[in-house]
Amino acid sequence: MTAGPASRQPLPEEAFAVALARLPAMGWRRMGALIAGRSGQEAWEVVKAGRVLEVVPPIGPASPSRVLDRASDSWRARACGLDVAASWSRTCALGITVRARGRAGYPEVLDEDPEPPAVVFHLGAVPSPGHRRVAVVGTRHCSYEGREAARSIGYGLAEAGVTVVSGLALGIDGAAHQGALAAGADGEGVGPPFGVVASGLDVPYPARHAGLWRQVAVAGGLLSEYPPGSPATRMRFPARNRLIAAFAEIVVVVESRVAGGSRHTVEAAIARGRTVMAVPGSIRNPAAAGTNRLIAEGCAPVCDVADILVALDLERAGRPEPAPRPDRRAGAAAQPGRRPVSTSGPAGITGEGVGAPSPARRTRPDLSRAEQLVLDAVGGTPASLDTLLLRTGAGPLALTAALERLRAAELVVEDAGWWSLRPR
Amino acid sequence: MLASIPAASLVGVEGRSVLVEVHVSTGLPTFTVVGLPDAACRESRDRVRAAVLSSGLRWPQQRITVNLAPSGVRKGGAALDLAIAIGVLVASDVLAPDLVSDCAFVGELGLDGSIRRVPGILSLTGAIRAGAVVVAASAAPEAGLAGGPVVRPVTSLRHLLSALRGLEGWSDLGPSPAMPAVALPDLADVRGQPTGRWALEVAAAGGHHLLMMGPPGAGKTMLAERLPSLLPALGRDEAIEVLRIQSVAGASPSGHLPRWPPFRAPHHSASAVAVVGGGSSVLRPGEISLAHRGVLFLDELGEFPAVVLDQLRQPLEEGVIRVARAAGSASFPARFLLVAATNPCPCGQDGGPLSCQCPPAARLRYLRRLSGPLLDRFDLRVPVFRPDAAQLLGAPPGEASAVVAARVARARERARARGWPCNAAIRAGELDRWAPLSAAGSRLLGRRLTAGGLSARGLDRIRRVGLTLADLEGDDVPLTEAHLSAALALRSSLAVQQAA
Repeated sequence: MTAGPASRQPLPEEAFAVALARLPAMGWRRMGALIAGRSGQEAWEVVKAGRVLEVVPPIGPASPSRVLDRASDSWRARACGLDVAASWSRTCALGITVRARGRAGYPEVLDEDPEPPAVVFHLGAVPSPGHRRVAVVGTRHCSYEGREAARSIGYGLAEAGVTVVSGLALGIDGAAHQGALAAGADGEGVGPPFGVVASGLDVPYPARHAGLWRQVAVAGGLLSEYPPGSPATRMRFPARNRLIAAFAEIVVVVESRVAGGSRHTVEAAIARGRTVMAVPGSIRNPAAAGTNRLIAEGCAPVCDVADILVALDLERAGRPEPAPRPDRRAGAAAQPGRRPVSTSGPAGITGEGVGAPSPARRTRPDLSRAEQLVLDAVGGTPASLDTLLLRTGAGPLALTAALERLRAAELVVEDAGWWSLRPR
Repeated sequence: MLASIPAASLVGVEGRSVLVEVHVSTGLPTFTVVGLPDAACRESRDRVRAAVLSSGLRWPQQRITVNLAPSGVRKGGAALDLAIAIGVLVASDVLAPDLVSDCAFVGELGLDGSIRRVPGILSLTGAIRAGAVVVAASAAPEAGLAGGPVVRPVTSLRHLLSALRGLEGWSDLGPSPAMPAVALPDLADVRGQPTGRWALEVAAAGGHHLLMMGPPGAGKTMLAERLPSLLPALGRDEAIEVLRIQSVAGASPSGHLPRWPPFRAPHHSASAVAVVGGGSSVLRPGEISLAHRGVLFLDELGEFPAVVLDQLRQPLEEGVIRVARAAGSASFPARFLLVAATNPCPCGQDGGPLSCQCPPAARLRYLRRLSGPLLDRFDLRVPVFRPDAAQLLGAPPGEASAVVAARVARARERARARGWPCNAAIRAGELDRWAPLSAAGSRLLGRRLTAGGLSARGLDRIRRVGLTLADLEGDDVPLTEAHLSAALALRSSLAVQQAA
């Protein structure tokens, strides 16, 4: 059911779901307990009458009634002042689709989930079980290389027709979607991006990703279990992360710290039997400590997009043989300064595109000896000018000149005084 | 009876000639001081009376009126004590007027009749309009630097009267006031830190303001403290300028001519008035004036209140701070080299951009406090990192200050030959003349401009720093790719970019 204009006709079931979702401290557990076995309108009347505790039977120590007892009074107060019809028409006016559990159009993927939201809000399309879906998540505070890896994985997955699911956060999440959007801009038939967010769909969070938010909603879809106007609060992120895991067939963690929020996503994915994969990083990169630990615990490592596609059984399934395609490189070059990693077949079969030498030593015939020396000294993890002066033994003027030429040749990058190899 | 005694008082760091007029007449015994004295100046009545009586002299039991002319200008401090006492003694016929003709008096009186030095002797003596000036013996060397009136040092009021009457000689003028050789902190103490040392050398050679970003304990303060030892020693005129300000602020108890550029490091809790100067009745120079011709070091730049930092902008441009208050206004010289240090984020990120634990929003907030026009005025912005153990323990000591200072002096000589005090002072319009670009250098800057990492104003600063680097190398213009690459590397962006 698409959201129609509000009228004199009786309000649809979804209108009451929206109103219930607007109550303070309403989460999917409480909402689920409230509407279990009754219609939205009945649940709304129960709340308005303050009879929540009478109606919901207590079962066990962590029963829904225990969850509900503190909320009952504040709900009644709030519900009496809330105009269901007005709230419904406001939601419809924003162009947001509302789906209540048990009604037509509710996302099938969530219907099968052990922790389904009672109501979801979405813009654009929601992927169905028939779509191939991979979540790409990670830390907000990532390294340059992590960001580039997320971007290229997003690009490669979308190019292979896979829906990239992520949370639109700063860092890895945003980069993965930017990669997927870039693939959409470059070609046809790519997988649409899909974002699951922790605030109302009209409240872009973080604010710096407002543009990305719109692009993802237009090119693919955005979903939230919170009604319009809801801010992103601390408690909503773990709940959002469970939905990311619910939507994904495979969860790929690109960079995460030991105690990062990606852990929630990973736990939710494991609880649902989803495959978790992780991108390995340098042992000296604290932003990769969490992902390296995941690999140590048995997650499959992702060294190339092909690894994910193989895990999806996509790599040999009907995709055209990855013959040399110069148009892809040209398309990628249209996006200034960014270069997606090769998504050509499994490494070693064609040898094309994955032929880059190991980052430890790149040799280029056009480099002078001094430039090659400096290039060898710049490692995969960011190095300061101090470190490079010590490693090369060069004078500062010679060193900075060589670095500047290497930067112009797009071999190294600098970020606030830290130099590192440009990932390929 | 009437007496007029020349003296001087301070307005800002300048002396101003004051005439102390004393009138003694019949009437009820009173003692009033008029002519806008401040509290310390009004209290001089009690000091003067006690000092005269302690010196075994008679205090006139008559109506005494003291006027400090010009009466429209506020006078502060105790510097007029001595002139008031002499005026009372002359007006009450204790002292013959011809003994004090063409002689001024500057000093504070103790209750026992001793004469003490007052702040700002150098400026006060310079403002005296008389052939001779009597000052406290300890202030005589400083007074002699003014090169004005004959300095007559005395120790007490009793001594002064005997000397005026020719019964006793004046005290010795004291030794020539040059700063005893004090060893400055030396750059050889700094282990590792090649980038920090390099930036310091460039800052000293070109007069470029320097911002160091790094975690606590990286050695930012240690580096900054060594900057004066790289700068040229003060010339005599510069030293007198510096001493004048220090003396007014009471920051030079010895009154010796400073030899090295001053180094001032106000704490970030300092008020705006303490940093830029001012005050309600007496206008005093602030830290930026005390750092005149030297180094002003602001540690934890982000912790300084925004109002303090904003007030630095005018003096950074003009080399002078004008302070205006209801009581009057004053200009203080403030031509200083600004060195600032800051943590890159609230947690003080240690091992690199990835080990920081601050949420991205907190990092942005922290940097936003620094951002704006002030940050733009730093020609040099370098990260400073903690040296690792091998550098601290094993590495040989770096170059000593004297070696670096010699290179700095040569570079400054080249800048002076162009007619500018230092490269940082070259006006934007004159850069094409003094700092032309080679074709490759021009291409390099063009690339960076289109990449968006450089603003037009940043471009000018890069050229000035590039010119300083050329001066240090002994290279001639046009500026090559190497000079400009190095200048770009010394002006790194502020934060690890967060935007994905």
